[in-house]
Parts: sequence; C-alpha cells; structure tokens
Amino acid sequence: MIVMHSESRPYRSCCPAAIVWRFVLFGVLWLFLSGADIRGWPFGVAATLAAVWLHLRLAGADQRRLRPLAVVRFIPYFVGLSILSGIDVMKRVLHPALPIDPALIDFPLHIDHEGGRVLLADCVSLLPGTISARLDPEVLLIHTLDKGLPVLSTVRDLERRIEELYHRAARPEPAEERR
Amino acid sequence: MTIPELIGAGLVLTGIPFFLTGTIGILRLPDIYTRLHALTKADNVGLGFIILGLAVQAASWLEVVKLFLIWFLVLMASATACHLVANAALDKNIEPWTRKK
Amino acid sequence: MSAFYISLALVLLLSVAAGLIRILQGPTAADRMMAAQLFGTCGVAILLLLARGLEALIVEDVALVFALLAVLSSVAFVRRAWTGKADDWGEEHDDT
Repeated sequence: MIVMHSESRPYRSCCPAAIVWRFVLFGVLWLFLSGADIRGWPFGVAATLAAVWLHLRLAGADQRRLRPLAVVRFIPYFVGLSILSGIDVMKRVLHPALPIDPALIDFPLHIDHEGGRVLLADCVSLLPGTISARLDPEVLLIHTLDKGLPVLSTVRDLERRIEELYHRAARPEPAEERR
Repeated sequence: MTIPELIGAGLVLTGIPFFLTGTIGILRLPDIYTRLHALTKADNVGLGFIILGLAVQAASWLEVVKLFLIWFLVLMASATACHLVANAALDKNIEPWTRKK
Repeated sequence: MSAFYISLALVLLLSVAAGLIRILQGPTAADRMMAAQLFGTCGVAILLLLARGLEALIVEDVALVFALLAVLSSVAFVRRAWTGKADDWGEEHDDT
C-alpha cells in the first residue's frame, strides 16, 4: 500500500504501529490547528492520512527514533543559546566599530545519520556567531562572524547533545559488517 | 490592565529591537554571509519574544500551541533558508569578506 | 492596548521597508534572496501583532499559513531562481 521512496531496503515503519502513531500525532496536530472544531472531521481525517503517507514516503532509509526526555532537555539549552546569539549579533551590529572577524571553518562530523546532520546544520545557524554554509556527509563548513569565538568546541558540544536525542541504530549497519 | 497583559506587552516590546538589529545588520554588514548572521539570528529571537509575549496573554491553550507552532515553523524556514542562501553563495564562488591585516 | 500593538506592527513594517534597500541594492543575487527570510520572519511578526491589535484571531491563522509558505518560498527561491543547475529532485533542465 505504501510506496517507499528508497528502494534500497524495506523500512521498518511499514508495520501498522508506525502508521498508527503517526496518524495519532498528525491527528492531534490537526485538532490544534483547526481549533478543535470537530465538525470539519472529514477534512481532518483526509489531511491526516495525507500527512502520514507523505511522512512515510519522505523518511530516509536510516530513520532513528527520538528520545522524548532528551528532546525536553534539549529545548531550554537551544532557546538559551539562540537568545545569546541574538544578543551577540546585536552587540556587534550596533557597535560603531563593527567588531567582526569572519572566517570559514571546517567541522568534521561524527553523527552517522542524515537526520541528525541536518538538525545539526540547522541548529548551527542559530548558535552565537555561526551559520552552516555547506553540509557534506563528513564535514560541515561553518561561516563564523568572529574567528576568536570557540566555534569548534561549541559545535562539538551541540553535536554531542544532538546525538543524545536519538536512540542508537535499531540494528547493526549491514554496510559496516561487510567492510 | 491585567498583569499578564503587562508582562506580555513588555515581552513583545523586547522583541522589537532584535528586528531592528536584523535590518541594521543587513544594511551595515559587509557581505552576504555576515548579513545572513544578522538576519537569521536577530529576527528569530525577536519573533520568539513577540510570540512569548502574545502567549502569556492568550485566551486559550489552543492559541498558545498555535503560536509556538508558528514560531517553530518560522525557525525551521529561517535556518533552512539561511543555509541554502549561504550554500548557493559558496557555489557561485562569492568570497567571504575578511578583515584586512 | 490595541494602539500599542498596531504601532509596533507599523515599526516592523518600516523595518522591512528599510531592509528592502538591501534587497534592491544587492549587490549579489544572494543578497536579494534574503527577501524570503526578511518577509517570512517580519511578515509573521507583523501579522501576529495585528491579530492582537485588531482583536482578530483569524489573522493568527494567516500568520500560520504565512509561516508555512515561508518554508516553501525560501526553498523554491534558492533552488529555482538562482542556482540554475539540474537539481536533485529528479528533474532536469534541457541543456543538450
């Protein structure tokens, strides 16, 4: 029934449980967005089904499950850093001398799955003084507003926290066993 | 005026300077990469404060959830757009501005 | 209170207008692409302030749609408008 996006290997979320929890999640989301107006339920069900289908279709081959508690711990850390980064950029921009010293920095990535890498790249753009300029599987190219900032250690810390958000791979990677 | 309204107005007001920073930043900074820093970060913090300020005086929980959903969407859009523009600029070989020694 | 929020919305509108100077000036196409972000974030903020100022909650839904479209517009903007090379979404430009 579900057409998989990647033909490389069957993805475990084809099982009914994966469809059910996605349906519940998107259904609740729809309820919030529609102001919990039950009268529109046919639209809600249709939209929810479409969302479940799209979510399964777009999921990459190496899908990791999130750890809810770790996500809750991550939010205050992330919000705190974003506010600091806003204040940092404000100080620099409003300073008459414009105290910036930009540079491009290579950051070797440790995260071994794509979802985590994309999340890292997005978060780096909201960290004080860094934006992600190019994302390769092994390296993230970072543009920093000030090369005096401890960019590498800050991003390494962020990477560690992002790795904690995910469960480890459900099973050993077949590609690694062959190597 | 109630207490939540007062706190809310204060938070909303806090957000405004960040938006102005974003605009001053893209006018003042020397190249596309540095301008992206100002626009992405300042505007998102500004929006965060405005949304927080509106959320504390929201009429219902539904509205609060909706407000934070908006914040989350804009955050994702902005971070993605920032990355894509920086990436496109690198692809076009636009040299980052550096401070002369 | 509503005058307060509407005037803040106006301040942000002026801020966007000032930002437009950069969009018009460029100098590179990448500078112009920041329009998507500028309008996305500021636009949502302005709509939310108007929703509060005019006591019209429906405008919050407009802000939500705006936020959703901001994602699409920035991606489309960068991938279609500028890079001009065959993208990896499976479509090819005819460059034969």
